[in-house]
Amino acid sequence: MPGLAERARRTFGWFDDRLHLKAIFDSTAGHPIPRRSASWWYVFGSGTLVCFILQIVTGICLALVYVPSPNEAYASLEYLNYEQNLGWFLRGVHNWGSVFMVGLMTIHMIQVFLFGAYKYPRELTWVVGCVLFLLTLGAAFTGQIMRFDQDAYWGLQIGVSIAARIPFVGESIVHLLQGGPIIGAETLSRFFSLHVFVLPGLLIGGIVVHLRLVLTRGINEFPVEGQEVAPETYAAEYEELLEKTGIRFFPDGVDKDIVFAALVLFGIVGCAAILGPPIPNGPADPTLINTAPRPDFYFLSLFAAFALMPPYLEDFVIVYVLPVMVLGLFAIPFLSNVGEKHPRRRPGAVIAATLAMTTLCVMAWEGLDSDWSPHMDAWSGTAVPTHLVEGRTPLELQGALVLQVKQCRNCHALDGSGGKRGPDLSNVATRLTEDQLVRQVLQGGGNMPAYGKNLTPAEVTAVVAFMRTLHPRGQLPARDSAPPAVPASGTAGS
Amino acid sequence: MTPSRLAVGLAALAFVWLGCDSLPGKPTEAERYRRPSEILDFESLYAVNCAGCHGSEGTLGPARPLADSLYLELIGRERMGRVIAEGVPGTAMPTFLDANGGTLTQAQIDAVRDGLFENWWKPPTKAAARKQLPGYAQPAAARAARGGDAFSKYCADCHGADGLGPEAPGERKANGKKGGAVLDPNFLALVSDQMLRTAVIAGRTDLGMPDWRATSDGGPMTEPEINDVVAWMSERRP
Ligand code: HEC
Ligand code: HEC
Ligand code: HEC
Repeated sequence: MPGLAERARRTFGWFDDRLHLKAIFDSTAGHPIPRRSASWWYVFGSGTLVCFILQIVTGICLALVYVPSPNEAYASLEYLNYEQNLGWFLRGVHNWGSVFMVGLMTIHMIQVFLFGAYKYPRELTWVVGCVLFLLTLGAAFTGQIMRFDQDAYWGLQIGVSIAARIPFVGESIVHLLQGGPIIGAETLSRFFSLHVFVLPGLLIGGIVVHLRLVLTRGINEFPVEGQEVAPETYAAEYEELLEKTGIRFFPDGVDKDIVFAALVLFGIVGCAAILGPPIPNGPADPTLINTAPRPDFYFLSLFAAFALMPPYLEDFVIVYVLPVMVLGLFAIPFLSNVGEKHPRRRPGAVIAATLAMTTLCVMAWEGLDSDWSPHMDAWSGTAVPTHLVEGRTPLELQGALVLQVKQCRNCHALDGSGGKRGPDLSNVATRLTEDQLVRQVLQGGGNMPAYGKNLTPAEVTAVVAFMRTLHPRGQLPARDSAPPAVPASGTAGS
Repeated sequence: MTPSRLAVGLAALAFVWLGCDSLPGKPTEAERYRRPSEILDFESLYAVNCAGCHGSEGTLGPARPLADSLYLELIGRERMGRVIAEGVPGTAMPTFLDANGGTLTQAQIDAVRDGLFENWWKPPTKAAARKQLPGYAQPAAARAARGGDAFSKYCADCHGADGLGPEAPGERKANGKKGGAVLDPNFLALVSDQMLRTAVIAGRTDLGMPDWRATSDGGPMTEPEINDVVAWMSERRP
């Protein structure tokens, strides 16, 4: 009677004979890597993959409850949030999983860029990685649409209006995405199939190719200062490195990836438990206008860029700048694929990466803090600071009321409260003279509507009288530089 | 497994299970989105719809204070509901009833009205005070011609003999109680007669304008005097 171990060995042998399991293992998980590549710098790719797998698992669970129809999508989210046991947690994990996935993927790309890992012979790995990046952003965007709340509806509108400006094919793309000329019942089904079938399918395919490429030419060696990549000698050098310092990825080089995967999962679960899922902010209903929609974090910087950009630039940016940026990303390995890899010898690359990330973060911060959309409730809900009420004459009080009822406050703050689309008016009297105030109100300009036809002369007088009082105590309001020909009597010091 | 270990294990499980329900990330009912028309509590309704003009605490807004028991007594619940629903045409006071193009349902308007009285109305302590209260609405039988006298008697002290405010800006500063121009044609063009009447009767105690009982020259004003001065001011409107 053979022992247990012997029997197991034989069973494995039987299968191996037919499936070549050992050979597969040796050429995949067991493949050799340079010892120094088992580094903390090299964990972000596998971390991204962990997120993706988590997204698939939680996505399948969500799909059990979610109903992709405009009338029920929102209700099914509310069901998950408030009725289904731990449904909110599931949503939270899926949401934070996508946040972590995009975040880690970005870090992975930066690391690959800074370590010159895209250079010969890994150009294609970079290109496929860029495709994966775009697909992931696509999944994040379509995922946001799945909520089908106000943010989703509005994000959809923006996405569609961007697509519509693509020359020649814009209209057709929009039609294809929306399933009709307007956002309607068809639209959600289309985005649903994109989100759960098309994009994950493409992602899986892309990941397979990406990993295949990593296996074929090996993981990037840890960059060494002064060591240059040259296609003629690279293969031999890498071979030698493996000879000297090679370890098997599994089980010898995987420990850091496992620890990092655990940290990532812990982070996602922690965020879901503490911060929770995004609360749907009302059903997608174009008649509800009192909302200040905001995209999920991955698109904040894009959102900010478009909000801050003058409108005449938008077309140019969509048609030229964005495509050139994307093409530039893909083209990186073809612009320089030899030479030094170490970041210390590539100051240009470090500066470029730092600049790009700083821009993204600043824009995202602007987007987070953004107030370009008018505050629709400010006119009736945001009080005039009491110190701007006290001591005002009855006419000036009426002027403050004009500022409310004509909805100036939706764009203009007083002492920081109110809309931020136009300048805060708390000190406006120090900047503009009476004539300039009148002109600004009547003629508008610079993103401010002209009120000439919408205000009676009494309203204009009142609102200007009120604004003339808006200056710090002790600081005189702005005046026309030319003194009046005849000094007005009795109003000295006005 | 010993029974005590089992108990500890079960307790831990129960803890995790119950704990899940009290994790900070769990969406609360309060965070749940409600359609604007489903909101019925006074604080939210007032904060979103009235605070902008009538002040966040119901005083010291550009429009008259509503946190004013005397004023609430004067207008009464029924009229209050009507003003909110219909607004005051020709002035900054908007109509709120959705059927009139506003943003509130009748139920919400009732909630605002009831909330105003619950929060800011106190039953008058002296029965006499109540009896003295002039009528809310301006009667047709006012004699504008006599209003000028009443104005000089009760109002000129603060608002100037010509109703255009204290003579010199410094004078206003010296006495915080002095009022600005109330006969300014632009001001009069922007307000209703009812607003003038309300101001005379209930004052603007938040800004230093007394009610009808305490106007200068000893007050209280008689009801005919109130009628007359309002009619007289109304006639100054261009
Ligand atoms: C749609 C938003 C919007 C609304 C509504 C709006 N404004 Fe403006 N306003 C702006 C913007 C934007 C500017 C800056 C214009 C510029 O840069 O030239 C501005 C500028 C001004 C300025 C000049 C401020 C300065 O410091 O230079 C005044 C005064 C002003 N607005 C008054 C008003 C008044 C009074 C109303 C209501 C009758 C009003 N605005 C309504 C957007 C708005
Ligand atoms: C845009 C500014 C504005 C908003 C918002 C506003 N009001 Fe007014 N309200 C006014 C003005 C101005 C008047 C005085 C109108 C006049 O001339 O008669 C007024 C008058 C009134 C009056 C009658 C005063 C009187 O003379 O008896 C009541 C009652 C009132 N408001 C209640 C409310 C309530 C309750 C809300 C919130 C639901 C509200 N208002 C929101 C501006 C506003
Ligand atoms: C004790 C001084 C004082 C007296 C007396 C007085 N007022 Fe006033 N009145 C004020 C002050 C202070 C204000 C607040 C606005 C300002 O500072 O100009 C005011 C405001 C007003 C307003 C505007 C209210 C608003 O909500 O914008 C009217 C109308 C008015 N007064 C009419 C009268 C009339 C009519 C009389 C005589 C019956 C009168 N006042 C008597 C001090 C006074």
